Amino acid sequence: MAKNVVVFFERIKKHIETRDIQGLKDITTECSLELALAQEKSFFYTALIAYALSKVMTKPRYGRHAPVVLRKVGKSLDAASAAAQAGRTAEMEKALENALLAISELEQIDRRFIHDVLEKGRTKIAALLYAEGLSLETAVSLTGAQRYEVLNYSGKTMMADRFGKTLSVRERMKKARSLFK
Amino acid sequence: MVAKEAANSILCDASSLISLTDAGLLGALIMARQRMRDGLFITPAVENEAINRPMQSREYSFSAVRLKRALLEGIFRIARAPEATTGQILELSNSIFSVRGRPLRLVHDGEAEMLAAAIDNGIPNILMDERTTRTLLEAPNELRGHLTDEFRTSVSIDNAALAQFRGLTAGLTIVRSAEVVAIAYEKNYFKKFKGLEKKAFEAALYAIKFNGCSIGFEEINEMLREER
Repeated sequence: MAKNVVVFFERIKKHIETRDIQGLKDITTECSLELALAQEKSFFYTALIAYALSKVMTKPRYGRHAPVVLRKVGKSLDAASAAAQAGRTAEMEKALENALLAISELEQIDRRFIHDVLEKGRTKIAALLYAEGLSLETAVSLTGAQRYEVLNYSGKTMMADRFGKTLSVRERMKKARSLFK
Repeated sequence: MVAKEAANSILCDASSLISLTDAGLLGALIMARQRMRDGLFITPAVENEAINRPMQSREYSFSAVRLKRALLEGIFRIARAPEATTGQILELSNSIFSVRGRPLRLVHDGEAEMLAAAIDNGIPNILMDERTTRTLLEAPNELRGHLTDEFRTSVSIDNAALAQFRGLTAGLTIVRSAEVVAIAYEKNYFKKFKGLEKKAFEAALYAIKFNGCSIGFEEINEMLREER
C-alpha cells in the first residue's frame, strides 16, 4: 500500500476548509498519475473524492446539508489516514468508500442528472488514465467507468491530436485498400 | 479454436465497434465487409463488452442491439484465444516499460486476448480505435516518449521483452474505423447523400473521432486530401 496517499488526505481536508476548488481539481490530476503508476485503489478513491467535492462544493442548492456531509468526509479521511499509517489497507479503503457514500447521499437530496457526480468522476479519471497512456480497458478496470462513456468523453478531447499519429494516412489507406478490394 | 483463417480477415475490437455504431456508421463496416474475401471476427470478450454489457444499459442498449443483430446475421464470427498465448502477451506487454524500477502495466486482459486471438487464428488484421495497444504495436519508442512526457519522469524500456513482444505480434496490422469509413466512401457508401457525398464523408470522419476513434484533426484533413 502506498503510504504517501495520506498526504493527499490532508490536502483534501485543507482544501475543504479553505474552499479551494482548484486545489481539489489538482489532487484529482495528481492522484490519477499516481494511480496509473501504482494501480492501487486508494489513489482512485482519493482522486474520485477530490473530483466529487470540487463539483458539489460549488453547488448552492446543497445549502445547509453540505457542511454536515463535509464533516463526515473529513472524519472518514481521518479514519483512512489512521488505517493507512497502521498498514490496514482494507480498513483504509472502507473509510474512503464511506466518504464517497456521504457525497453520494448529498446529491440525492436534489438530483438533477441521470449520471451522478461519482459516475462522471469515474469517467473523467478513466479518460485521464487513457490519455496518460494506459489502455482503455486498463483505465476502465481501474475506475469502474463505462467503456462507451470513456470513449465518448475521450473523443471530445485533444488526446488523439497530442499523440497517436504513427503512420501516415497514405500508408494506412494503402493497407486498408488491399484488404477491401 | 477456429481453424486458421486467411489473410483477408479482420478481428474487430470493441473500441471500433462502439465508435462506428455510436456514429451511425456500422453500415459502412458491413458494406466494406462485402469487399472482403474472408470475414469479420470478434472475441468472446468483445461480444461481452460491446454487446452483452451495454445491452443492460438504457443509454447504450440501442447500439448494442444493432451489433447483436449483426452478430446473429453472421456479419461477425467468434474467434477464441487460448489462455497460454493471452497470458504470454499480457506478461510481455506489461514488462516492456518501467518507471522508478516498477513495471508499468499498460495493457489489460481483453486487449491481450485480442492480440492472442489474432495470432492463434491466423487473422493478420485488427480493427482497433484504442490508442495504447495500437501505438505499442506500431511505434513503441514513440509511446515511451509519450509516457515520459505524461509522467514527467524517466521511463525505462526492456529491450528483450520488447523484442519478444514484436516477434510474437509480427505481421499484425491495425486498421482504424476512420479507414473503414474512407473505404466505404470510395465504394460509394455516401452516394445516398446525392450532391453531399464529400460533405457526408467529412462529417462521418468527425463523428467517428468524437465517438472515440484515435484520429487527429490533422489526419482527418490529410484523409480528405487523399480522397480528393
